[in-house]
Amino acid sequence: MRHQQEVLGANCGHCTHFRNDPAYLEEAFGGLNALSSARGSVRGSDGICVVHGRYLQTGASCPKFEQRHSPHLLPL
Amino acid sequence: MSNVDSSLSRESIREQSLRWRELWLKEDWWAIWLGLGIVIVAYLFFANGSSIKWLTVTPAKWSTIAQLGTHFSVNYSRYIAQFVVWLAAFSIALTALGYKAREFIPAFAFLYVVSVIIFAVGQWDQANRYNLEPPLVALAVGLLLSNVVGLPRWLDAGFRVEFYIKTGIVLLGATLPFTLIVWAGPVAILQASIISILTFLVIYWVGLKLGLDRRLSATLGAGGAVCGVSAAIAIAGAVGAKKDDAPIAITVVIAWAIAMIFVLPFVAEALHLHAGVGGAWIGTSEFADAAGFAAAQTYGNLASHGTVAGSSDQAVFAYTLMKVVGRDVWIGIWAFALALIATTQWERTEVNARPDASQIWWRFPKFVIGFLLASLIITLVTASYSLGTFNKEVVPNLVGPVKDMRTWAFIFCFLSIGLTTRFRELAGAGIKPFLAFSAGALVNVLVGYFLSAVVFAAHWENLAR
Repeated sequence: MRHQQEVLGANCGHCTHFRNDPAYLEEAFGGLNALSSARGSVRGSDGICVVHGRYLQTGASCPKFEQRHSPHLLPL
Repeated sequence: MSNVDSSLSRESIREQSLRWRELWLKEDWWAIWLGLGIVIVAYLFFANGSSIKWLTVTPAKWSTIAQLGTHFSVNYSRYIAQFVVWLAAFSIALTALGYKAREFIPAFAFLYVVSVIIFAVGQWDQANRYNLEPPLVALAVGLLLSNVVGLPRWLDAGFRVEFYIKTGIVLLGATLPFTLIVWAGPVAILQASIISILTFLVIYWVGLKLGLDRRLSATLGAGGAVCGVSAAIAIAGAVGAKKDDAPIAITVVIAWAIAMIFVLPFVAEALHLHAGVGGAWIGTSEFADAAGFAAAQTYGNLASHGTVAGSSDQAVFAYTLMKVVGRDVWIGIWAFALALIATTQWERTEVNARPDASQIWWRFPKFVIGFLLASLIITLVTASYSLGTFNKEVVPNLVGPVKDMRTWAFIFCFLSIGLTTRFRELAGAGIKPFLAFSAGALVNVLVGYFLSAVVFAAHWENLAR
């Protein structure tokens, strides 16, 4: 079941605890927009997990995954 | 398949498809559209016997206030037209990137007016005597306004450092012959790779010796070794760092990068480095693209004043090759390699992560593609001109105006660095991360000097000669 979830996208990118909106990240990381940006390609679509307090790629996963209910696409 | 599984499958497909949304949701691509758009329009005007130079007005050299006043009274309509063009282009891009036009428009108007003033100050015939180099003045004025006077936070919508520098770099490509990139690129890659790997290892090793976490050490190491803040956040995400690690790296990178903008050009001048050598040295010593361009442009300006041997272009070209071609383009590989090491060699965290080779492409700084394309386009369309005709026709009517637009984009960037650097908002870094990073920065500067001014000195001096 766990493997199936990983394959089907039960990862941070679809988790309700994951925040990767560029405006949110530029607010969370003070000084980010002074010499860089959350809207550049190098960031990919990484974001903050508010449960574990880690900065992660969308493909990461953990047992505390909760499916995001809103069907909207992730902001990059 | 259950309903839940079907739903997850649909989500997976949608997530994959949003990758193409990069084309209008990432500033790298907008820098390409905007930069190449200017280059193509400039060429179309040129090919039809005209030029965009009326639009690309810049303040002229002056020695009295009366002269300056005359310049603006004669050319004010050109400045208004230029402002409108920049505003329209940036508004389209930044609205697509999620900013509100009602915040961006007044912010950019403010930025443009202050940029014109700074540019004009730099054209004063006594400016060099007082070291009033536009990049340094822009940075100093910006820092003063943001940290002493204080500006509303919403104005940041118009102070987009990265977007302006990326647009400027694409425009820079149009002024750099493609053959020069092919000729000088391999040495830049070799030199930059030596520096990057060495710097990363020093910061990482010192960080571990000081008791820092592996992920924080790697985040700091990438910040010093590759491309500053951008590299730090890319690696923080790739290795799954704590969310407080990235702000620590951001703080130390900004502190070092801004200090080096003011120090490196004048140390290089004191060491009598040729403009090309100084540009290469700055390219190996500065971590952040925007900060490095400020330092390289300042050094180039010293060369144009005759204080330093070589030309302004040599300093900027050497810096660009070293930083953009030599270091920036490898960030995806760094991210993938460190993600692989983190998941297979380091202590596990509560999160499962798998290294993904596609990150090499998705994290690739796409504006570099625009930089190379702009260079290739101008090189190809001007290949049939003799040197005499090139200097008489192409430079004043095509390359020169594009270069002027690049200069504007850089000034917007340098001013924005100061306007967005609010020291009170930076995270406390702590002494250990600062020491680890400083060890790498020191190695960066010393080995960079040795490679630029000793090992490859002849190469950089002959660049674009």
